Amino acid sequence: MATFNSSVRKADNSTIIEVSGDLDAHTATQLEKTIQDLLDAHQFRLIVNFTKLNYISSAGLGVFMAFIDDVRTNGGDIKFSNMSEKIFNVFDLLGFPLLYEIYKEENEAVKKFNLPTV
Amino acid sequence: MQKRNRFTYLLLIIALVCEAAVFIIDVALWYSRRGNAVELEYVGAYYFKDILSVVLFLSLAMAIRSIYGRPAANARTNAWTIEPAKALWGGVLTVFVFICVALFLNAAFPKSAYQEIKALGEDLALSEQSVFTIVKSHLVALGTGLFALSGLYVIERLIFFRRSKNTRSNFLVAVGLMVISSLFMFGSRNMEGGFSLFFTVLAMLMMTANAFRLQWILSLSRRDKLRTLLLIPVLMIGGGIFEAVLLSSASDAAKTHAGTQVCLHAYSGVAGHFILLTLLFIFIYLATSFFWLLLHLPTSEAFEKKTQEMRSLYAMSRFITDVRDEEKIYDSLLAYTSGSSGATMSWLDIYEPAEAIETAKGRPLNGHAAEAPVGKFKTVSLRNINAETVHRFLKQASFVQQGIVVKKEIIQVDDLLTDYRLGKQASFFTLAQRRFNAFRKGTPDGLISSLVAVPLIARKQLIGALYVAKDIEYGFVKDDVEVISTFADQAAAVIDNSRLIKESIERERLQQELFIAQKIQLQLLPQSLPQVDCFDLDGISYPAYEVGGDYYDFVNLSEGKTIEKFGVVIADVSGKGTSAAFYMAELKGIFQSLSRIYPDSPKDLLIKANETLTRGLEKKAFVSVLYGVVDVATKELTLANAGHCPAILVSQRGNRVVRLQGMALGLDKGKIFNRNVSNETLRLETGDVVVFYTDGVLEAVSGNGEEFGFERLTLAIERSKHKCAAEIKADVFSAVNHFTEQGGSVNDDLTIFVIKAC
Repeated sequence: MATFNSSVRKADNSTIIEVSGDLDAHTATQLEKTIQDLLDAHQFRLIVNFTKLNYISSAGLGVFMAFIDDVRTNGGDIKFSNMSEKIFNVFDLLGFPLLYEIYKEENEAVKKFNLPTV
Repeated sequence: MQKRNRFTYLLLIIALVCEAAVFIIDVALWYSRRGNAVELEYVGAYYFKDILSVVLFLSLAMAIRSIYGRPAANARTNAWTIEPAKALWGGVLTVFVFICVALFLNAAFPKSAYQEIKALGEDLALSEQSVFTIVKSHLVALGTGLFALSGLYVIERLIFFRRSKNTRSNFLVAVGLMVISSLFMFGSRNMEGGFSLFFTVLAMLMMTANAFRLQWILSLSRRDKLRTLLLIPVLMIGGGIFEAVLLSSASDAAKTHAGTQVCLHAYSGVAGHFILLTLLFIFIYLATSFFWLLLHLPTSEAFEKKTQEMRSLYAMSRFITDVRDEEKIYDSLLAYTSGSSGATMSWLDIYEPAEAIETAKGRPLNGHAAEAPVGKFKTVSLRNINAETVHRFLKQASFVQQGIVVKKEIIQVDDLLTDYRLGKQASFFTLAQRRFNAFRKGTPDGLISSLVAVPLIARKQLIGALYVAKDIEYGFVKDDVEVISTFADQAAAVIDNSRLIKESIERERLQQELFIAQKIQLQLLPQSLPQVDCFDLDGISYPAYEVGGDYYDFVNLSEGKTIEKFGVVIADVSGKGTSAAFYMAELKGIFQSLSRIYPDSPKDLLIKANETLTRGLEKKAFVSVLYGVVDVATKELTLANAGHCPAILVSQRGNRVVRLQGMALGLDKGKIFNRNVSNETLRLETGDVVVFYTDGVLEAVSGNGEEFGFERLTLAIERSKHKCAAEIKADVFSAVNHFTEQGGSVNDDLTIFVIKAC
């Protein structure tokens, strides 16, 4: 059985979701619930930290697609950070870097969120 | 049967002959005595009489056994062949007849007692007053003898009821002692005989010991117990009256005797004594039975109730194996529970956990749903109570459901009116006032006063609650609660069982549906690929589940009959299973129609496809597509990629992973997509192999967690490049399978398409 875990913590203005394990069709619903809960709590500046993620499937990628419009219309964003090369390749192949900001380090994304929005 | 009947008749005839002989001897003796021939009295006649009478009563006893001992038609179901109450009733009637006969004899033959006489060599002897005395004592002896022997048979049956190891021997010892004691009377004329008294005492001790074998009383119904209890004294009094009537024909003044004992001994020392002892045995047994019955009468109701509970439980467990329908179980459960706990009202709630409700959002719940902390209760069956009363009660006493959901424990309410859980502790005075008010107004019918609520738990999950209630206070005791909870456990098992069965049926149905879907989806893929000049084509797709989101297709783009231009597409819908399969079908429609509109530019096709798809696609769904158009004459392959795994070209000039910019369909409405998608044209030469595939191939995992990857894929193609397309395809598949063999797995749909230029 694929194991997946996500933990949420605050950093300045942003909320960081740390994901670990395998994010596939089965575990995607967990992440969906986590993000939905954050949106319900009006947390729209989200950073997903991929340090500990081992595998992501297309269904896992779909989770971010499901929420991005909602987040952006509320003035927030979903940014990614700390992707391994393997994970990045999956995102890259499908063209996700064209839609999402991907950072090497989490604090870069935090800084970006801290900048006053124009 | 026939043989047995004949045997019985034979016994009766023997008895009759013996009786006639004894009677003749008695009459003869009387006449000899009358003729003052006492001194000449032939003592041997008494011995002969004893032998005859013993034979007589032995054959009578055997006849009785033969008649009563016949197995009844329903012997298997009936625990005993003689019902005690019935036997007693027979005894009472017999005694009544005896009394009547005795009264008649007294009236008809006034001088029929025994006269004390001085006999030679003996202190005291008795002699008949008249020849009628002989008739009378014979009637008495035969009557009481029949009665005693039948009674002994009944007692034997009762003693042997649920016999233990020593029962039989104890009984036989008692009878044996009676026989020995009687045998000492052989030839006696004065009711005395050697050690007879000693053995009589021993026999009485054994009788008493046997008289405590009273297992049958426990099994009697309360009604039968009462009947038996009443009949025993009646029988005893009847016996007393009979004796009194017999005695009334004698008088102390005239020194005459006429009791049963006298009659019996006059009849025969041995047989008479035995019958007397048997009557004593019957008396002792009846006496102990009487007191035992008295002791058990109060508990008989509880005993019967327990039996009823057992029966209900048994019926219920039989029910489990028979009934699969959950709805039917609900009603029967309430019926069984009410039946055995004496509850007037009961109802059953089924618990639906919070998650289940969320998934069934928008669907109205049938029946009445009460508020609960987590999840919801749904009343599925009611008995002698209406939904409104239930609702009102649960609203008033919300602690009941809370306790069931949170603590999963049995909740008992003894008196709803004054229950401490209903709010803050009221003072004694307030409670008394409340009670008085209720008393004055009178409680309306069907209002719950006491209640037991038991959670139904199956596999550690709360699946419902069983409520039983009464309209009186303190209606349930500990025993009731235990029974109700036993039923609840049973019910939980039954309901869980039926659900599991239902689930498995449902699963089977879904499986069937999926099988159909799978067949249809296979039809959506090319059934066979056409022959194209200079090109060898082959492709295949394996879904990870029954249906998948992978798609490949071939389309002829030329006008004429011969194929001059064709398109090849491979696509992967995000996710797996049913939803992906639907999008795959949609994709086929889009591709088939658009490919003919944009025969020259794969890029334009993808742009248009993105536009079309984005509108109909779920937010989180997207599709990666690799599309290529081949011009047969020029051997040119024009590729455009929308976020799909790059095609691999294996050629004499070197191998290449054909990476192209582009993002998957459905991610963006058009602006960014259109900016990034591009075409590239490759010129193929004879022997070149181009392979389209989905990420299932690359992401196939080996036992130690490694992925198949580009290198292994390229290598596999390289190795087989000189073979035909079908073989290359098969070789790549076997390479993947070999790679995942040792504990690895293919987690995704797996598709591959091979184009080989010849």
